[in-house]
Amino acid sequence: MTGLNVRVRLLRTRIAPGAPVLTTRLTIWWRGTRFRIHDESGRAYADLAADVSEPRGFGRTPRTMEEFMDAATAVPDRGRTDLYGDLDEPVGLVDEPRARPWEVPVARIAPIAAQVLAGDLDGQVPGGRETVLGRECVEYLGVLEGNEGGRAFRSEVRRLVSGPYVLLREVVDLDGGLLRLRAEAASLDEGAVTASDVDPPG
Amino acid sequence: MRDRHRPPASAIRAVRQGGTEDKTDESLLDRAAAMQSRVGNRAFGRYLDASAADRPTVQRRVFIAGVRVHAPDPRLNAITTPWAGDGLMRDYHDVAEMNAHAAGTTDHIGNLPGPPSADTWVRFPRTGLNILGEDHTQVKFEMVAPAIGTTNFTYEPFSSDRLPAGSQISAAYNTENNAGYAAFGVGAAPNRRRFGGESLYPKMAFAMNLLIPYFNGTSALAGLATGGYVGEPTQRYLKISWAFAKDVVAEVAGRRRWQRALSAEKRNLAAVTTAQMATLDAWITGLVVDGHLGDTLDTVAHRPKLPNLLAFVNALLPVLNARAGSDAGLNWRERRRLRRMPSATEADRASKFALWRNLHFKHVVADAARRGVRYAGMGRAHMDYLVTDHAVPRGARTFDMTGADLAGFEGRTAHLATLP
Repeated sequence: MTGLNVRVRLLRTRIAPGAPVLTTRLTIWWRGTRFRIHDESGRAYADLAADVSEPRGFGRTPRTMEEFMDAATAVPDRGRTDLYGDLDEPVGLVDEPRARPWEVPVARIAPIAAQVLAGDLDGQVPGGRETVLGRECVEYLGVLEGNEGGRAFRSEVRRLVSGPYVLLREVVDLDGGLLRLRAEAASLDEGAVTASDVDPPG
Repeated sequence: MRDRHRPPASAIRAVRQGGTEDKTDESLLDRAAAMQSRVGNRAFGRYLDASAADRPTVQRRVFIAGVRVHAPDPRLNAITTPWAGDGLMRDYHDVAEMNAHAAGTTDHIGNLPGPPSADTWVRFPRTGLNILGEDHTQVKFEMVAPAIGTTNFTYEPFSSDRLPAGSQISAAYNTENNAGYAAFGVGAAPNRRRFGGESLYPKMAFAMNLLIPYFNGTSALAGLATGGYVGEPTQRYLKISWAFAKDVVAEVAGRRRWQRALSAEKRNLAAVTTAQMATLDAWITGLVVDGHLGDTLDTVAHRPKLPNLLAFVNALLPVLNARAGSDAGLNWRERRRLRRMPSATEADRASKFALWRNLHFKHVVADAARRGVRYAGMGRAHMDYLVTDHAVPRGARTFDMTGADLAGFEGRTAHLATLP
């Protein structure tokens, strides 16, 4: 863990029927056990958490008419959101636009930062190979299955993994709901993270 | 084989919540990473679930002014003595508050039912309007309201409109929303309008505008089917809109010679609705509550109805568009602003109807504060809109039940669990 030093810029695009295409840009820094997540769109903590916890794999998606209307209403210059954490500390910090920073258990935000890490690939069946950002990647396919509101769902997850990093994650609804998610690394810089990158404000 | 960059278990210490240490699971991140590689995002969901499961078990405790009360205690009575030994955490400012809670006369404290955030003790100000911003998939206001014992609220999905008694729109709206009112324990309450957080009409307009690309063949009907999310609310608003149109048919038919002439838009809507009655009425009124429009529409039997539906929506939208510019719930500046907005394209109308909703919504919230309503439940995005637009009524307070405030409640509850 002490050797981890990487900055990954993620471009995340979600397509859902009835809602505008949602494009968000995230930067994730890892320096040892410390990490920071920066969302350029100023999305709330709950939305960032949903990116990695929503069961179908698409993140927070409008469901009610109110949410579809909210999604269609552009909020100009909402600000930026930053999440800070250290795996060696119990709590991290959430710094959202127009709000005072607040503490959150690190266990809740670490998975958001860890979405760019491949984790343990034991038992995984590697598929094809592709090159992303000049790095050779191995494809891994998986399926998310479950039940939501009494209805079964299945989503196919395709990941391109290069070493310890996930450079592309695509999620497709297998049941014809036309939902799509694509989270791709726009840049990856190893050894570029300084302490100030992961220091919380103040 | 171990990934050299994967967080080693030893790097992970106890996860503490609320400033106190609880059960330790040093393999949480390892497990999460391993699951992630198998199934992508679900792994993180499990990770979050796991971290939630690792929270301390909520003990059987009552606190007064931050100090635990052990039974027997002279301050405890027949109702509250068992509370010192049941499965919930209760945190009172004083004995009077505890007794009031026991008597069921409070409306500002309680334990959330969960999931998520099961048993979390929440506390809101005892006076004034509390505005709660929610995520409709997480801690919803319909969980909070019964937990704190309030029926003095407004809620975003409920209509604030005066729907004419005996009207088709009233019947359709109630059919779609009866279960929602029942969830709050106000299913049989008279004058359910007082619970309304928003006007129906902007949402009807937005929903019908949203359906145009599906009805004219621009968008695939599969997007309206189960699996997507938009098919369910649009079906609901199609049924309500059709009912509204039938009311307009009756209004046109019942007009007397001496009455002021109805608008051309209404007369056209009445004519189009009447013309489509044989094709659409039985089908639309037969659509099930909470169904997805695409499930029935995208079939051999019903795809031929698409031109009929498009004709209906094209006749309906001018009526609703005109209503935006004459909405009696808005002030004249707001009505003028809406009248001056373009409405030629779907995008124009979407912007206009969204603004209509927001303008109307601010008046409903302000009215709620004036009426002494204690809680206004809404999506967090809409609460943000109020804050950004400086439209939070004086004396009202906002609570982010998706983030900071919910985390504060959870942290306080977990902290109490660690006290002797």
